[in-house]
Amino acid sequence: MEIGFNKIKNLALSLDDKKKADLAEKLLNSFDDEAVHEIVEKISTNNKQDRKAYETNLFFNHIVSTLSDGVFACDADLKYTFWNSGMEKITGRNKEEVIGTHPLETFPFLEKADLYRLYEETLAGKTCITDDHPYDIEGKKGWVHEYMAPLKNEAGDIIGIVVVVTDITEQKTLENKLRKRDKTLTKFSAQIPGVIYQYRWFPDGKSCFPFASEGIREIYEVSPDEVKNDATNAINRIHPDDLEKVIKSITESFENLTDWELEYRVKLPERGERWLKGRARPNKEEDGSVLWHGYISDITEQKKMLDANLQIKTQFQAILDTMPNEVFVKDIEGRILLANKSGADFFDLTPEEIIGKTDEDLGTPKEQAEKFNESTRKVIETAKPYFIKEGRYINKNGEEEWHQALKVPHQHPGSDKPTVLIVVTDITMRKQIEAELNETLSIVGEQNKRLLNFAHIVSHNLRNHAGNISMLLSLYDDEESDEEKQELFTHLLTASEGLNDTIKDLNEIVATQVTVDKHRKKLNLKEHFLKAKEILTTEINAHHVKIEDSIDDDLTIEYVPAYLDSILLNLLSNAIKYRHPDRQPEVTFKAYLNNGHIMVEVSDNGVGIDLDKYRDKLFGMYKTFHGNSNAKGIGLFITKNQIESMGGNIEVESEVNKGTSFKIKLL
Amino acid sequence: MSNVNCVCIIDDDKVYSYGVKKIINKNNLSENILVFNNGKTAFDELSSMIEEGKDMVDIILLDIDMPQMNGWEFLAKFEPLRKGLEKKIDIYVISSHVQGNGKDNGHLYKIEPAGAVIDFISKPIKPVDLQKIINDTVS
Repeated sequence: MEIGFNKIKNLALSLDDKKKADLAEKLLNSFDDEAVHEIVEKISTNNKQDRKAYETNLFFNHIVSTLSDGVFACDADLKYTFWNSGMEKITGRNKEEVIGTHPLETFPFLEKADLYRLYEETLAGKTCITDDHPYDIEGKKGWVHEYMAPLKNEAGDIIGIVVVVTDITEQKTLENKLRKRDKTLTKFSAQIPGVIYQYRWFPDGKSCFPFASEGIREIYEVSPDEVKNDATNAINRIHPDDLEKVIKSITESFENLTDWELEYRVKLPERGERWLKGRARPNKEEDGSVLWHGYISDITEQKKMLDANLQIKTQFQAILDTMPNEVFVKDIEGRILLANKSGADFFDLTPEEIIGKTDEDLGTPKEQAEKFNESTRKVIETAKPYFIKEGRYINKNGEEEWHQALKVPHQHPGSDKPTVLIVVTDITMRKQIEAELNETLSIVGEQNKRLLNFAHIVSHNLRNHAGNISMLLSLYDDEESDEEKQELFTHLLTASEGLNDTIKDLNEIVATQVTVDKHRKKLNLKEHFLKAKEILTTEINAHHVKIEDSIDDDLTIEYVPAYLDSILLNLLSNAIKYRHPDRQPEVTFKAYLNNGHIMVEVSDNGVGIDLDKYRDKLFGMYKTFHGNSNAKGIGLFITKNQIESMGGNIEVESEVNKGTSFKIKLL
Repeated sequence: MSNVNCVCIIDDDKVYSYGVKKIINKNNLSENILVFNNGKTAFDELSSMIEEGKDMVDIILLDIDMPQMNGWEFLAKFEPLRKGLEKKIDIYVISSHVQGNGKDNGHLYKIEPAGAVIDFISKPIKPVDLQKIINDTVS
């Protein structure tokens, strides 16, 4: 029975489904015992299973053939048993060509040895996945990898292998491209002296840098990996004083999704305190986190430079403001773009107040302002500096000022138009000094004249006296009469006295010229005037001279006493000496302070001097004008010398027969 | 030995005038001597002498540096009068301004009134110089 059953079973299996079903029907109808029933039942179950397998097979076939992956199978003898359309597409070979052939001979993707090894392993029960590897089938190039698995029957016996070949050419190209782009990005970011980064902040407060270029090693002194999942290490580098500011700004950017931009400090273990500047654009992610893409750079040097620039600017301004010169920058219309303190002070305004104004706006007379503008225009048009050696200017107090100006073509920062830098120097003082110098020069000239005078006196007067003496002596030798000898002797005496007096006078003059600045004392002018008056008491009484004085009792002067006495005595005695014979002599003596100078005026009602004739000679040596026997012609010469050697001057006014008036600046 | 009628000395130096007068008298160079202390008194006196038709001086020995009217001023003022006279008056300038002898004093002749001056003689004048002046005038 058992054998019969097997026969039937085999028979049944060899038949197709329709026949199987028919046969089963017939069998059921012909056998009516329990055993047969059981068999038929079994066959029927078998048949059902087969059918299921068949259907599964069909489904499988359908899927496999529509797959773009290549799928093939081999039996245990390594002969192709299955080859899907994917394989056809990849290899360009169709099913008919390969079924029944041996893959070791024909498989196009793997070396024979590798393939054999893989088959062995798979047939031993292992699942194998190959690495991605390139292929070249008759010029068609690409990339594949294979998946190999053992093929088992129902009993679990390995009856072959199934292989899935995946063409990854496209993916590979994409990968390459990505890799290339990555490489480029890395290369670029390594070149940038800062960090390019992604920063992600989760609502729970955690944050990280999913991407950070190598620059982060410098910026935060952390590695990209260190902060990939947790930003804490980077955040710890932020300067404690700036941390609050940084967090606040990120929070703001997080909440409002506005761009983040901030300058802040970090404290790095290696490089210490640095200034950073960050910029990033936030983007809200689906998980509620915010992802920024941004860039942080080290701006310590710029910051330092900026600070230094600021310092330089402040310093520059300070220097400008302490300069006594007036400094302006003007445009072609004459508008002031910059002014220092002196420049503003000139207009009694602050530097800010005069910016944008013209000279005319600031109250300079139109004609003068136009003159200034003309030279400014000239400098811009010719692009050449212009120097104004001196210019007279009447300031608003009506005082005369002298200015010197240098105008230079200038590029003013912040102005795209040409401008002129103007430096004005107040030379009023210099002009005054110049005038004083000229005065001194004329005094020096005077003294030169006097020296010449001196030389003449030496040659003239000394020779006169010496000549006379030698003449008289030769006559004396030849003279016989005692009476005549006596007379000659009297004349000899006169001549020798004359010689002596001349030498004395010269001594006095030389002394005047060399004793300047010695023994200056504080002297009361009135006291010394009274002293001179006392010396002249005899003359004053004899000629009934009326002397009036107006001298402040407290008026004092730093002077050489001998000079003061000599000057006062000389002036007074001159006034008496040249009195008019027809009237009572009157002398007025005034002393007063004028502009810090001590002035003395001595006037008389005497005979006067014809100044048209004698002005040049009045103060010369040995000049007398009246035929007066008292006149030696040396008094005024010495007086003038003494006054000038003390830095003063003497002037004279006179009218013949009316009187003379001397005006003296003592100091 | 020849002599002249009258020599006029115009000089404010009394000692000098005395000395010159003494030399002239001693050597009998002139019959008469007139002495003036400055140009003004000399001019005043000489011009009134001319007016009165008195004998004019033969020689004038003139100093330059004098008070009131100096030698140059005298020359300028006296020249018109001198030109109007028939009688020749020889004028010599005797001054310590003069250095060396006549030839060295070309610049002095350039001063306008110097045209009338015969020679410039340095002070003090020597007896030989005086003798020569007299001789020149006489011849």
